[in-house]
Amino acid sequence: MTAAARPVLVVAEQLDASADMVVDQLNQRDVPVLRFDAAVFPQQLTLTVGHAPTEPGWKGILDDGRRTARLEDVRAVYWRRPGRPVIAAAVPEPYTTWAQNQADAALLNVFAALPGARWINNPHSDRVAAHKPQQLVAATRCGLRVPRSLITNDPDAARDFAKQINGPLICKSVLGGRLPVDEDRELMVATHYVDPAAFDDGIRATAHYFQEAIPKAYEVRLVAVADKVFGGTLHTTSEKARTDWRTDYEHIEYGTVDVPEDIATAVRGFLAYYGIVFGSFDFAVTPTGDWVFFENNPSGTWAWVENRTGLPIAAAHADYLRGTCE
Amino acid sequence: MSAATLIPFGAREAAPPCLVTTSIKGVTYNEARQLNVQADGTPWHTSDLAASTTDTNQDGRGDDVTDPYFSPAS
Repeated sequence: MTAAARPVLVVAEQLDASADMVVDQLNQRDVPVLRFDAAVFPQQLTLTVGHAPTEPGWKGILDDGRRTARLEDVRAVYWRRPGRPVIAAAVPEPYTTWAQNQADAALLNVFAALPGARWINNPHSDRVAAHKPQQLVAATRCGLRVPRSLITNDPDAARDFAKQINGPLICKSVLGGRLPVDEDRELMVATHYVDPAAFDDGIRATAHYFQEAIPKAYEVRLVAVADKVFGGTLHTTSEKARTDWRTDYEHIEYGTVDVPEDIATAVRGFLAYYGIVFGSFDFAVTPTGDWVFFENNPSGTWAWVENRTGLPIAAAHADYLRGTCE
Repeated sequence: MSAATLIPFGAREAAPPCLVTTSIKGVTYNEARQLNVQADGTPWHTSDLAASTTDTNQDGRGDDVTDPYFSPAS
C-alpha cells in the first residue's frame, strides 16, 4: 500500500466540531479516513485482528459496513473523546457491563499496539497527563511559572497559606466534574475567590486546592499540536468571567497572540515530558506581561478557538496525522 | 438537610454551569465526507459555534467532566 493510501482512524462522537474540522482538513489532503464513534462497536463496527507467533503486530480488518481499514496500514489515530461501546439490548446485566469492558479494552488496546502509528493523543498517556498536581511539577520543570499553590485538608494550613500569600486567594477543583445535587440539576465548581476568615472544618471534608489569585491582563487558551503552538486570547469584561471565564461566555472577547518563544519551548518540553503531542493549555498573562501556567487539558476543547479566531489548529492536526510534520 | 451535614468548603460555591446552546437545526452527518453539514451542504464547523469549554450542548463534551480522558481500558 502506498503511503498516500494509508488511513487515519478518527475515533470521536458523531457530533464533535473538532473531529469535523480535522476530518475536513484530512479530506482536503486526500488522506483516507475511517471515522467512527467507539459507541458503535460492537454493533455497527466489526473488528477482526490476528497475531502471528513470531512476527510482532496485529493484522486484520476494521469494517463499519461502508468503509474498511486494514489495521496494519493505519498511519495515525485521532482519539477524540469517543463514547463507550454500546452492547445490544438483548444482552442482560451483568453480561452487558462485562461485554462493554471487553469491547473497550479490545478496541483501544489493539489500536494502541499498532506499530508506528501516530496518536493525538493516546489515552493511556492522557490519563497521566491530565491531573493538575503533577502538571504544576512538570510545568515548573519545563521553565513555566505557576501560581503559589496549596493542597490541604487542614484549615490551619490553609490559614497559614493565606497569611503567606497576603493577597487574594482562589479555590479550585483538583479534579473537574459535576455535582448532581438532584436528578435534573448538576452543579459545577468553578474557580472562585475565598475569604480566609471563612475557612472552617469544611476544609477537613476533603482535599482542597488553593492558589494565589493571579492578576490578569487577559487569558490565553494555548493550543499545542506537535511543534506548533497557537495562542487564542480571552479578554474578559466581567468580574465573573475574569475569575473563571467558563462561567460567563457573554463577557469574553476573543483574539490571538503570538506565543513568546520561551513559553512555546516550555510547552513543547511539557508535551514531551508526558509523551503527548496535543494540549489545550490555560495561561494568564499578567499586566506586566508574565505568562502564568494554570493547567493543560490533554484532551481539551479547541474548536471554538479556531472558529472564533481562524487559527489553523485543525490543519496542524491533519499535518501531524498525515505524517508531514514532527 | 440534617444538622450533621457537612458540605466541603470548596464545594459551597457550586453553581449551575454556564451552558451555551449551539443550534443543530438542519445539521446532518454526511457519511461520504464523514462530517456534519448544514442543510445547504456547508460544513457545520464553519458556522458560528458556541465558544465554550464546558458543555456547549452540541459541540462535544467539555473539559469540566470528572475525567474526560477516562477510558476503562487505559
